[in-house]
Amino acid sequence: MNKTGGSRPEPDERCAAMRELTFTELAQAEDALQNDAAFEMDEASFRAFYNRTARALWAHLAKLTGDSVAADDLMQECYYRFLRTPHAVMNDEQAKQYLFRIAANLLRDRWRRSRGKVTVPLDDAKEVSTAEQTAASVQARSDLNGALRQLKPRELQLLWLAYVEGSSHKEISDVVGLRTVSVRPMLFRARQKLLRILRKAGITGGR
Amino acid sequence: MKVPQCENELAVTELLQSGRWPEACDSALRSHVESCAVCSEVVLVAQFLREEHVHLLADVKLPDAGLVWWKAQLRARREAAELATRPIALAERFALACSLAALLVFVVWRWTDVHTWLGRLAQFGHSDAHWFLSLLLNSLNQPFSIFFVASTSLLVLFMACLVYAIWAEK
Repeated sequence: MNKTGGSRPEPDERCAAMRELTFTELAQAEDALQNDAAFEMDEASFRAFYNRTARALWAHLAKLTGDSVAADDLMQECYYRFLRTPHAVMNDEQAKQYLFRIAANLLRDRWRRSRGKVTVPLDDAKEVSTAEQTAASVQARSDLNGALRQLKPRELQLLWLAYVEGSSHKEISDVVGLRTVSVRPMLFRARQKLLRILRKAGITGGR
Repeated sequence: MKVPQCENELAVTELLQSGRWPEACDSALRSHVESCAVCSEVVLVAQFLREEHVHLLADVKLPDAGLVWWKAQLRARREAAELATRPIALAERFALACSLAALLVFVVWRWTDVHTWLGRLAQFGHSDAHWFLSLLLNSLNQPFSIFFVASTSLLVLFMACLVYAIWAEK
């Protein structure tokens, strides 16, 4: 992750964003930088929270959308909605859970809008990034990504929250909006489905 | 549906989460995993997904926290401004709707006269255009006509600049 000091974004990133603005918006932006009263959280607290959660959130969004650009947009939207919501009484874990709940809602809206078009899209463009990767490994990964598309978005979401984020069943139910008793059987079915895919792809453990 | 469970599943998941699997794992637990279907499935799935996670984040360049903060501030300000000007926009639309309604009522009420006028307009021929042009040229010889022309030109120019400014703003 990009790490910079100070309270301003990198000049070239800010310039790129500024090119998209009108004169009125630029004036408002400067005004906003001088008066940070729009949100309950101050910038320093937000920076700390962002540094703790951004990588996990982005990876979650990127895996479930299969699109890094969409993940960037959704991440910005998640943090904006988080900042707009009163959350003074939340501790760090609750705040992170809340952030992921926002992400789950945004993902659900996105899936509903693209219903029937995509199951679990994956970013195949990433597969040819390094010169060391042999053609065989690239092909194998591409085949695996294609196989993983058999997983429904909700199934991958449950698996990711359980085994990458380490969320408990209660936390998963809060984020995704399911009943807690439903999480275990759904997670089990998703796991079995993924196992069938991995075994068909010849992945049996010890990777 | 009866979901197979294992009492060690949680312990195995925590070890995977903390990155202590399998090197820093208890040997008894490790041998249990080798013989337990549930735990071995959890290990396989979790390891695969965690490797996907690492792969995803390998070359990613996330935006700086300051940029995210700044964009959020900007959007909040924009939305607040839109909310504040919403009554004005509603009033403008209402005024336009009333004007159009009044025009429609007038046209319907005085339809006969409007129809006659439209008929005359359709018959506006060469002789009428020549008459209008000569009328215009004669008016330029009148006193203070230059002020009329200048003010009309300025008004047209101002309207054009206003339209351009609104278009550039959008």
